[in-house]
Amino acid sequence: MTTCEFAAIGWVIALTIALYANQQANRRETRKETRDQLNQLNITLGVLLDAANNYYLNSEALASQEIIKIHESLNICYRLIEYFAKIKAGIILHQKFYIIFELVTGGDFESDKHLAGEHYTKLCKEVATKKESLIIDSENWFKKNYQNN
Amino acid sequence: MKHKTIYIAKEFSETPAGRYYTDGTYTGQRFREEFLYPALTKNDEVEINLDNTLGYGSSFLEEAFGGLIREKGMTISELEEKLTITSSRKLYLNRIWQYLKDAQFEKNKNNHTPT
Repeated sequence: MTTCEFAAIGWVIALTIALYANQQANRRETRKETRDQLNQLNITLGVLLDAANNYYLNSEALASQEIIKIHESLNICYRLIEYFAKIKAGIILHQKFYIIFELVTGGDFESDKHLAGEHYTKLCKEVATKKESLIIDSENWFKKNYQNN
Repeated sequence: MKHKTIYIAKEFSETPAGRYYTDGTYTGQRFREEFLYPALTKNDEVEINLDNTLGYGSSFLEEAFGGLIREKGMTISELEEKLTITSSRKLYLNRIWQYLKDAQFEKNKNNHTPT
């Protein structure tokens, strides 16, 4: 083998290592970004649940303030859910989210006749259950796809 | 061909809310009865712009749009031809078309129920 051939093999090995390292760095970056977005989803769902609980259960809460929080958090959640659906090997969380949307903003939501109270306990428990289920699905998906990266 | 665009925030309310007239001032029923349905009967194409409002609850959206089929006798195929809905918040677009499909499904089901 000539010196030239040794040099060529050396370059190929160096290039392969560089490509591998770059690929790993990209995977780590994607993982970090996805984790951040997932944390954001968890936080926003928490805000939504708190606002829904206040709106439906707490008669002393300022309804208009909770309504604003509910609308804002629903839209942030939806954007994040769209993000998770579009990335490689993404997850479809829409159906579970739509159930939450219907539960929180259906019925007499934003009606002048709305009166917060314990009669909404069942509704709020259902929202909490659906929220947990959505978080579990997303966390399981994250573990499955990014655990080893 | 007559075309009309309704900007909800500008022409109706920045805070649309509630289902029936009895729920408040800017409800889904009011929007359907006083804005949406009249526009659909007078124009070939109607575009509804949902942006620049606080947000929409399912009660408002379902009554305003699903009610076109349930209360006003329109069909989903007719609405698919005439109605365009635009919004930067995709959640609402998805929900509205689902409410229209659900309303059509219910209507078809009731029409086929033996008496």
